[in-house]
Amino acid sequence: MAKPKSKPSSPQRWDFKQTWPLHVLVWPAVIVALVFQYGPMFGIVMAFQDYRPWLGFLGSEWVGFKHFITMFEYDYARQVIWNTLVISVLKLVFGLIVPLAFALLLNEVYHMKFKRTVQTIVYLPYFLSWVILGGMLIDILSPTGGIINQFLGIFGIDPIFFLGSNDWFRTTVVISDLWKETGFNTIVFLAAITVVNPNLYEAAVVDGANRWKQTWHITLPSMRPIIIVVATLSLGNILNAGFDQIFNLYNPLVYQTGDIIDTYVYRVGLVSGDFSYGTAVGLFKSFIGLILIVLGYHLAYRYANWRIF
Amino acid sequence: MKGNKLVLSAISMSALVMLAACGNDESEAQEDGVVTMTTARTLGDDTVFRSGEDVNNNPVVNWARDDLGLNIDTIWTVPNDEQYNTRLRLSMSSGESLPDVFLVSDGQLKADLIESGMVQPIEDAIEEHASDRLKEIFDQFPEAFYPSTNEDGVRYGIPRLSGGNGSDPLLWVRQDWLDNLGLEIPETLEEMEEVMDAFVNQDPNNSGADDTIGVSLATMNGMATWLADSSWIFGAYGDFLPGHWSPDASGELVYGTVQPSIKDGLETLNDWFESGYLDPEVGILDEENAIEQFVAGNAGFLSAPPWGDGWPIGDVVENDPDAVVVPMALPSGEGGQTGRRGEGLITGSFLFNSEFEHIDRYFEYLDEIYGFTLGESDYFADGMFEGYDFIYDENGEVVYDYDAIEAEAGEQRVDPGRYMITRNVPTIPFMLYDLASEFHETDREPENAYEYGIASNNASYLEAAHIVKEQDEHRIENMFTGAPTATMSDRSEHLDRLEQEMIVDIIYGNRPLDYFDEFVEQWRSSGGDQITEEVNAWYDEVTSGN
Repeated sequence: MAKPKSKPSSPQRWDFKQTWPLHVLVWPAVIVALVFQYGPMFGIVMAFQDYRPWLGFLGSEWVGFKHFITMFEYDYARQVIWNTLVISVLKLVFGLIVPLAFALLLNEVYHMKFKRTVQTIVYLPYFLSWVILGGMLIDILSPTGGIINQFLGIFGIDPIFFLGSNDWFRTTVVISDLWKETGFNTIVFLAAITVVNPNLYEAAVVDGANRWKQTWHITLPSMRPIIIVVATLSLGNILNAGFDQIFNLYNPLVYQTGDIIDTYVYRVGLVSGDFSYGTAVGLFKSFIGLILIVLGYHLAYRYANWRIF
Repeated sequence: MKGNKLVLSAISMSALVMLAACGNDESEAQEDGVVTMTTARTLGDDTVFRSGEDVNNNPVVNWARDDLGLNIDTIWTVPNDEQYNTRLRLSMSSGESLPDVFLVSDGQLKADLIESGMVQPIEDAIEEHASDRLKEIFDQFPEAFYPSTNEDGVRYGIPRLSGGNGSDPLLWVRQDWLDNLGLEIPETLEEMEEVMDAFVNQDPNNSGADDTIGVSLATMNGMATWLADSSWIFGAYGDFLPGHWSPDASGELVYGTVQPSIKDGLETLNDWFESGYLDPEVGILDEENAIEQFVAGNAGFLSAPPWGDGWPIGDVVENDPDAVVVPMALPSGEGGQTGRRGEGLITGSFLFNSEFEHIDRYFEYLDEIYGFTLGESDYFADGMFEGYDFIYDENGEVVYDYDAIEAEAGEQRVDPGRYMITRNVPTIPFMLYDLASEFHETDREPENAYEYGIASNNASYLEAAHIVKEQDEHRIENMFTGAPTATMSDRSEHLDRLEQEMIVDIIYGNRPLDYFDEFVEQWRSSGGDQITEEVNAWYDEVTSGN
């Protein structure tokens, strides 16, 4: 927030008398961020110590990069990093395409009541937590009497153990995530569609474009900035493959494909009580995440001319 | 140091805003020789109070204050163990003072508290203040102190003794199914397999549908667990259980899961899975999920301790009025081999704030409530509290009958033992089922309130307790009760995962049985051997003192 280079006569000049209400408004947010986001960041020193709670940060022994080196010695650590990447990339790609396609299709519906009903039904799971959805999914997907397997049974397909098979677990995770999140992103895209200038469509109709051509040449290009913004924002979350979801669905049968950094950190740090190692893994995750955000931000600026600062 | 505190408080604030409300004043009222002893505890939904009473106002607390001059002040309560441990851990790291006396069952937390110097050793206090009968109990179970002994062999915690074999499993079987098919209660694992085959394939419940499994098992949280466990399957092949440290022929402690007899158990489980005796989801079932098939009336066998007679067995009968479930001895393997998970001797240790000066009063209190259990107390000659666990009839005779007590009190009967600092009427290991077994086998009348409480259980509970007692020689206890060793802290997550994956993969047939040998190799080389050394070093240390 550097001062703009002096243009004394400019009306945008620093003028506390005029802008103080804005400052008052922003301070609570700044304080909350400092206390709850930046304050706890001091805790990352644990990653470089053998942290003992009763000795505190000052008393614990410093061990340098020991925990990071350990991390790369374990096959499991590499495996969970890979799993995290795969699951989050799948979620990112499908989480973008499916709501977009859905929004475009919904936009073609002229029956308002039907459109609203569909929108509401798709939006509903967004409000439920993974604790509830996890319990529901375990029942729905059960190989003994789960509704999905009963349905597949009609077609003579053997029951599939969706939550207990390494072949199916990632698919299950991605699809159930879509089930929960699609509604929300659809609304964002629908909002973007409504701001497209109707004159463009009229001109296209005059030129003889059908619905498909209109979508391809007008709607999609007009939505490009919002698509890139949504993509960039999700890129910042790329390593959050979804702790709540995985934690409520996974089990030892699917560790191979389903264990992600966050669940791993949970088990190492909280269940086994190895705070330092857990912090080191978490810090590594944040570091990769930071690189991706910076990268995404530059790409967004370059291709969509979108920036915050 | 100041910055350090700021950061910690910032972290704890976000997690525990609600706890800020609970203040902690250290005013020590010492008028009329009354001493205040602060404590903290979990208070689950199952602890009920009479109307107008609470954790700091109930017959036990009032008795201790009026008769012993010990004012027990519970400064905070939380609903479950997880929150309890978190709260204590935060107290420890933020420098907030700990309660004078508190129960800790988490091994790591116990070790951290001992190492931090915030709790005091109890060696001298036992010597000076413990009564003879307490000393006798302590001497009888030296192992109960191992979990709260530091690396120099100094003891820090007073054990909260368990029922000894109180949570040891036996099997429960659907007698009505056996009758339908004209079968007998099986005595060996082989016979049991034949019975399960019939249960799965011959429609024992006459439903006309293929809706039955053989046995309900929980494997999600380990094979030797508190309900629907599989320990007896492994126990039928050798004296080792997955996840347990027990002595080998030479007396060294070895890790159960890497012993060859486990491979036989896994082979059996894989067979049972393939034959449809197990729930197809067995790999993702925890204890409470695992019993669903049994409670719904769709499983023939369930392993549960005698207390399982109330829940979950009681629920089966509610769902299926024709169900008859009876306890049976654990089946033996080849050559009559039997083994089962043995419960540990303690469920937590009481630690004392290093600034607490009145351990003598704690011992006095503990001695009195143990007096009740032993039937030799001055205060509780007829029962604990009149109107709570006993009443007098018009002739002045003691009445323990629960219905009569409820009729007179006009309220549901409550168990004052729940309010004691020990969370229950204190137990002495193995005494409970010895008594239950006696009441099952003989016509002896109960002589005091404690005995009445045991004798008034269902006949099937008493029979189950008798069966468990009869098989006591087959107990396999986890002999490692210390805090995680150095290598364990570093490696346990990886080794646990390796083990869990190996077990479910073999049961499901995702990997061949011989993968077990590969697992053992891997376990040994990635820290297992070192952990075995450390565990034995710990064991030598704690046993050498006695």
